[in-house]
Amino acid sequence: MKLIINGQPQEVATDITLQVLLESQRIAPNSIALVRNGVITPRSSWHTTQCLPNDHIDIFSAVAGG
Amino acid sequence: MLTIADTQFPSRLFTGTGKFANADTMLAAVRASDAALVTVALKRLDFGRSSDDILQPLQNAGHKLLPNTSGARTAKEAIFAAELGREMLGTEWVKVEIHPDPRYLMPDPIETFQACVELVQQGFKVLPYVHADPVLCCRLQEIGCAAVMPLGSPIGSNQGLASEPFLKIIIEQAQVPVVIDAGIGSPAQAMQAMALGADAVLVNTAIASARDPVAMAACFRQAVDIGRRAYEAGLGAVQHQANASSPLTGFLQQGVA
Repeated sequence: MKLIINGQPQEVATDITLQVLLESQRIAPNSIALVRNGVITPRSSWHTTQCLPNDHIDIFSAVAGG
Repeated sequence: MLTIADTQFPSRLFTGTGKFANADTMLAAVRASDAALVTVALKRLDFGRSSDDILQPLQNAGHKLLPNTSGARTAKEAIFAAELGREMLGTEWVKVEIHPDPRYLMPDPIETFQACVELVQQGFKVLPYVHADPVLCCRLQEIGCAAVMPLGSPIGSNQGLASEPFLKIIIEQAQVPVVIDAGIGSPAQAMQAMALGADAVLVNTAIASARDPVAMAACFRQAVDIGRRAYEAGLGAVQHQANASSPLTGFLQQGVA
């Protein structure tokens, strides 16, 4: 199925959770925040939240800043 | 000791992590600064590029992290950024900065105030970056901000305390800590800010853009300490006229015909 991840369309396996999505993208789960369709998804829900076709997933991390 | 929102800070120098040549230099400079509070920004993950994990080493070294809302142009965006920071870092602390104008990065007072109202209600410890506006700073402390962070001069400009007369009024009126943020370009200026009675200063560009950022960070640490001690020692009053330090008894003329 297709997801829009950080603005880019990507094909991923169907029936995956946010947790599995992160693992498939090799993204370290520490120190990131996940936004699904404009709503922040708490870390505690990543392993139960299913991705649906055409979901917009945004992944944020901390970067250097003043 | 400096206390903000019931948290004690052993150092009155806060630093940012931006503009360093690389992560190792940044970490070494932050360590040398001995900063108790260190700002970070939030950004969409860049898949194509590898990036250093800056958080873990900072946290391991005992620095408390302060996520900022840089990039937000409205109160709504800043609130979202604060919520992202809370989720990402597990902190309710946030530096609210909303500066839609890219040329001077002047903080938008209206959007900032609106964001602070909402974030305080949500339970965040809110530290707003604002212009050196005494009225706005009073209003922000009234609604429950944990500190105010007025600018010395435009962000990254190294112009120092261009706003000094207004910073003095803000410090005089403050019931929450005043952290002078933005524009401090040299240890001398940081010392001056502390001697005015600021509770802390936040320095980034002046350290990051120095030829030797690590050495400069250590200079700022000492300058902030000395400035604070000078404030506590109580500066003498400034006067327009001279006021002799030695006795003026006129003895050189006495006894001359």
